[in-house]
Amino acid sequence: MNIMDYSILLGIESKVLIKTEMGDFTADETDRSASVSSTAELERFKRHRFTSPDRRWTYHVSIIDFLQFWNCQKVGEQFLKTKFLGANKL
Amino acid sequence: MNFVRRATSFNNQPGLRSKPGKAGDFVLPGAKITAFSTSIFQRMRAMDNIGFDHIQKSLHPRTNRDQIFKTGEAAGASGSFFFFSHDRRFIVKTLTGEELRLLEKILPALHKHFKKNPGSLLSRIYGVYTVEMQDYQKVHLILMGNTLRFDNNLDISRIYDMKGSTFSRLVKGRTKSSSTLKDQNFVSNQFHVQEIQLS
Repeated sequence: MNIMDYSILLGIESKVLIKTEMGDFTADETDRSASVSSTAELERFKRHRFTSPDRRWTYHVSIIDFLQFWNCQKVGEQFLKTKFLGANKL
Repeated sequence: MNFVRRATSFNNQPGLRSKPGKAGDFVLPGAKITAFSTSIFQRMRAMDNIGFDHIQKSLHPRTNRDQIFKTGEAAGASGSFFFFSHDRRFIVKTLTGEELRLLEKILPALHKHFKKNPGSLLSRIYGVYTVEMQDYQKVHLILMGNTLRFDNNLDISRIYDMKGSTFSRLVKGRTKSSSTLKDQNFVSNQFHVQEIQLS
């Protein structure tokens, strides 16, 4: 049986929270317009970006490597690679 | 079409004779490049407002020399080779024949899925090409959008590639904050990730 394989790619970015009388905001909220080259581009990355409830972190989430099959052959392959090449080479 | 022609123009090997190809085939001196399912990929690029000029700019061979030569060092877990464009907008990866056949099968459904779910977390595919050169094995290449765009690389705290398994999913030794770690690192680091709403 073929089971589809995939990875979740999670990038964690820390945000500096700036406290002002007008409220708190993170550094890039103040100069975002300057750092982003086009709105189309912003949209492309926006779907993978999530802000933590306390706004101190940005989580970048995506699903990658979804074209691989995980089957018995792969399990055997992985075992052999781990055994003879060492796990760190994978 | 132009970008592929330029991308391989540095290759001045003796010509590989190629028959007049179908639409979407690139015929070059020394190499033959076949583009797959051009109309679907064209629409998938249009959905993300990506034109050939963007691809050409991001993947120009002169600005990507270093990226391409580094490819050999960074073999992916699946044994595939990949590199990021110099501006990190795109990622180019090799595909196995098996992966290519799977993609061909699911591509129409995948396209439909992206149309229906613009916020899908799946990484986007913008093109698939087969490169054939004399004396070399043919190579399948996939062009994808990069999904990790940090506001400031100095603020990267951790990057994890997770498969939901704890078998052989550990990156050992000293790592940088920009290193891609795996499941077992995630568990042992006990980094607190707050609950978020995935739309």
